[in-house]
Amino acid sequence: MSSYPDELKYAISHEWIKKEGDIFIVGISDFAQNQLGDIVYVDFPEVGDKIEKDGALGELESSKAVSEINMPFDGEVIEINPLLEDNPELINSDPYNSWIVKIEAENPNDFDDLLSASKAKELAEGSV
Amino acid sequence: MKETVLINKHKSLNGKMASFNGYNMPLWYKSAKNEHLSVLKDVGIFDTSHMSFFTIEGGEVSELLDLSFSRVLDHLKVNHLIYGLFLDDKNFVIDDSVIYKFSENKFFVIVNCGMDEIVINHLKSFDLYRCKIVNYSHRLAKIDVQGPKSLKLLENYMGEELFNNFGYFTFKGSFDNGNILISRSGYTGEFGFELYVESDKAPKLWDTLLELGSDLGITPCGLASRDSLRTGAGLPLSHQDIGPWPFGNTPWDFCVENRFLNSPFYTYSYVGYDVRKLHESTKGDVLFNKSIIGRVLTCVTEVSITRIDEEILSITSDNLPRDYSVKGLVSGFIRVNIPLEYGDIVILNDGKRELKVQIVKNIRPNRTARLSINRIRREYE
Repeated sequence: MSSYPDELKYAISHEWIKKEGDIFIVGISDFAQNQLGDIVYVDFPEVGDKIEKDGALGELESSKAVSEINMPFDGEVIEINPLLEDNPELINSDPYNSWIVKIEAENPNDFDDLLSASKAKELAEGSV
Repeated sequence: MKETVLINKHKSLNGKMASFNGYNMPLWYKSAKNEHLSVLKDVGIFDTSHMSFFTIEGGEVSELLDLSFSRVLDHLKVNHLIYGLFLDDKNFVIDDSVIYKFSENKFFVIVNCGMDEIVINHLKSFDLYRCKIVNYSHRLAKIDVQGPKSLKLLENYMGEELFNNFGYFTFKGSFDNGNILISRSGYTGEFGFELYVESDKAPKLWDTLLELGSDLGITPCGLASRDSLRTGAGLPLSHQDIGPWPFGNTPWDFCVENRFLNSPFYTYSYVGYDVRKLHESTKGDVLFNKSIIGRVLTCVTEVSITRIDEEILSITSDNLPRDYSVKGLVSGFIRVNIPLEYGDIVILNDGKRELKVQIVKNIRPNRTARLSINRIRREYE
């Protein structure tokens, strides 16, 4: 059974989002990493990229497939996690401490529209 | 959905299950990558009971197989097996197969999951057909132990003597009356054995092998690692790398010994320069000198290989620097309409990504499948 920490919000496409002041931190959920299998590469966006909601925020390469990370709301990439460049498997072993990008939202209130942990869990369990 | 007799074992090991040709099978248990690597270093155990099996016997069985199968069976000895293809009259591949010779007039045929009726009907389409076929697909289970420590595992189970001079592509025993038929083909590219038993005997055999292998680093392996190991070994996936087009000019031309097959296509193995794959593992154009020359058949990450100074090495290569972290390389097969040379660089393009890859003779070097029993004993026991 996948875990969904209550302090995080979630996107329909299984990203988790954490609010830290004006900055939003994005990773992928335990459910998503479990579906992907071994992650062998993270294709990051460029710092400074402005991406619209649901646009490609990067790609995760598992040993079996390539999967897009989606932008949870309109915003700009301000930082990527350098640890994942050499150790992408950290996403599998510790998905909620392995953030992928930090973003600045165009409209920070968009965060409120994201899914709660219980809603995201319900959605994931219904999709299996 | 169909299940093998080992379904409860897969569930109790928390296998990530998925439909595979109508069978509910484990893709992986904990990690497809670790399962792949375990077969190179130690031993992996696979349930491949979803495959199809039948015996064929009769006075004219050799002639019938010569007409329908791509290999010449004249020189195949009893207790030996052979890998080849069932081809139709256009030289399209119906399925790839391993055939075991039980006696001069009786053979045991392994085809892919769900292909038993199709291949049997193909055999029955020949005027020569006067043979008896018995379909064992739902009566037998197949458990494979692959990797260099599979020898020690089976010696612990059956005694050392059985394995003295156990040759590559030979088999011993039978699956009747609760016995085990054991063959040595190493279809993963690594040293290994395949075990056939009556279905009801399989759960106990699975448990016994896991228990005996616990000190040898045995790892239950799903179908994801089976496929990636097979690709790394340079072997085709049926209905993907070989299929309904004229067979010929491939890395598997040994399958059509003494026969010339004319094909407008050329199939090659390739290895890229990092782990990145195309978005769809079986789709993409192949470009050479900026022209599209064919299509991608398979595109996977071979997690056990790397490039150092242009040389492809595997985690088991002697000249791999100590503590070097192998990330893997993209690899697979392409089908093109012009001949290429080993070393040529082509571009794979799926509209989203462009990958530079190199045509190679071998994907994963230093494979152990063909090593002698004595050498495996010396180096791995």
